Amino acid sequence: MRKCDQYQVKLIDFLKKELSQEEEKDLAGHLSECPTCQFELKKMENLLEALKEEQNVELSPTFWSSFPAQVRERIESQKKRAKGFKPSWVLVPMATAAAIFMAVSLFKVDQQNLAKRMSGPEGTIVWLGGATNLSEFAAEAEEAVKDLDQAVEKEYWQNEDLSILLAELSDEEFNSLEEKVKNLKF
Amino acid sequence: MADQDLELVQRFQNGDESAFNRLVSRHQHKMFNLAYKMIRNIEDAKDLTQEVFVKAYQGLKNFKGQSSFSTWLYQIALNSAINYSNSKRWKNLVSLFEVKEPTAAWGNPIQEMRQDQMNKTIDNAILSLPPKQRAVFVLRHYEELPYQEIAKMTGRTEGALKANYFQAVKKLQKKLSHLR
Repeated sequence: MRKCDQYQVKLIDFLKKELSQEEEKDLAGHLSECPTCQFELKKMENLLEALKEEQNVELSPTFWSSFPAQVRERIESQKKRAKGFKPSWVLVPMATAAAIFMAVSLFKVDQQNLAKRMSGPEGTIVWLGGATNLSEFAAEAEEAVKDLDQAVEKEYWQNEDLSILLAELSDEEFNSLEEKVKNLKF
Repeated sequence: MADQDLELVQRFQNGDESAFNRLVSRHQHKMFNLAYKMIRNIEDAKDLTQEVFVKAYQGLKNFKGQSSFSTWLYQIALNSAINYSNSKRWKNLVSLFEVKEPTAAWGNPIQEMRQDQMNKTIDNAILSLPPKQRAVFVLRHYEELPYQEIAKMTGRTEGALKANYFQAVKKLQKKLSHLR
């Protein structure tokens, strides 16, 4: 990293007075003799000023007073749905397929296109050009996301939104899932 | 503040459901602001804030208090917002049909129009950042959290976060340079 880059990374914290005394002194010394960084500082100042013009969103007190009740309602409705009948022989392959579907959609597969392609004959899934028997698809998918299976089984039907489960993944887990999905061969 | 949260968490874990409502009331504004700053759409941010608390409810029985409740909640909100931003569901809709809630009393229409345009320009600039970079920017700039705490939430090093923040600022500079 160039010397100026090292200083420029700190400019915004300098403007917000969030550097240590030592860092601030060091940066001020550099600024006094570097026109490039002075120019960068001016640009940062302008940015902060522009962002200050942004108006905050205020929701009505009525909305906030009823908000905990709305959350409670959503929790109760999810609990009710979670009590539905779900035999495990349906649950595991379905959840696995759902995991793959959601994961792939996150990796920028054209969803509209996918929806069109998925309308294959009964019991098959039409996927990237070829029809795959749903049970074969589920078996391959199960292998690929085996680490997720249990979590999916437990969480998916409760939440009815796999994005919630995926959001819980750490970067490492997410990357690992991404790799597995990318390497799937159908 | 943190002690009160901890007490409410313990009450909830011991079966007092009403304690959860108190936790929601205490943190709802902060979580909404974070969601809104991340996704820049009022209706989606309201929905996402609800989702954050539903997830918190589901996980709270197992919350061990290794971090503060607030940090834990931030983590949930952040991951949800990143995930939300990654999904195409809302991307296509963003800002197209948004109806903004009235945010101020009657004022000068020209000034309001200018303000509205300004907000949209800033929204678009921030939405153009990749979700994870945007998250770092939002936590640092709007929430004013120290790098150390953001590092705990995101599992990244402080050095990586500083670089990320800097990159975000540079991109915003380019996008917003015409405003000043």
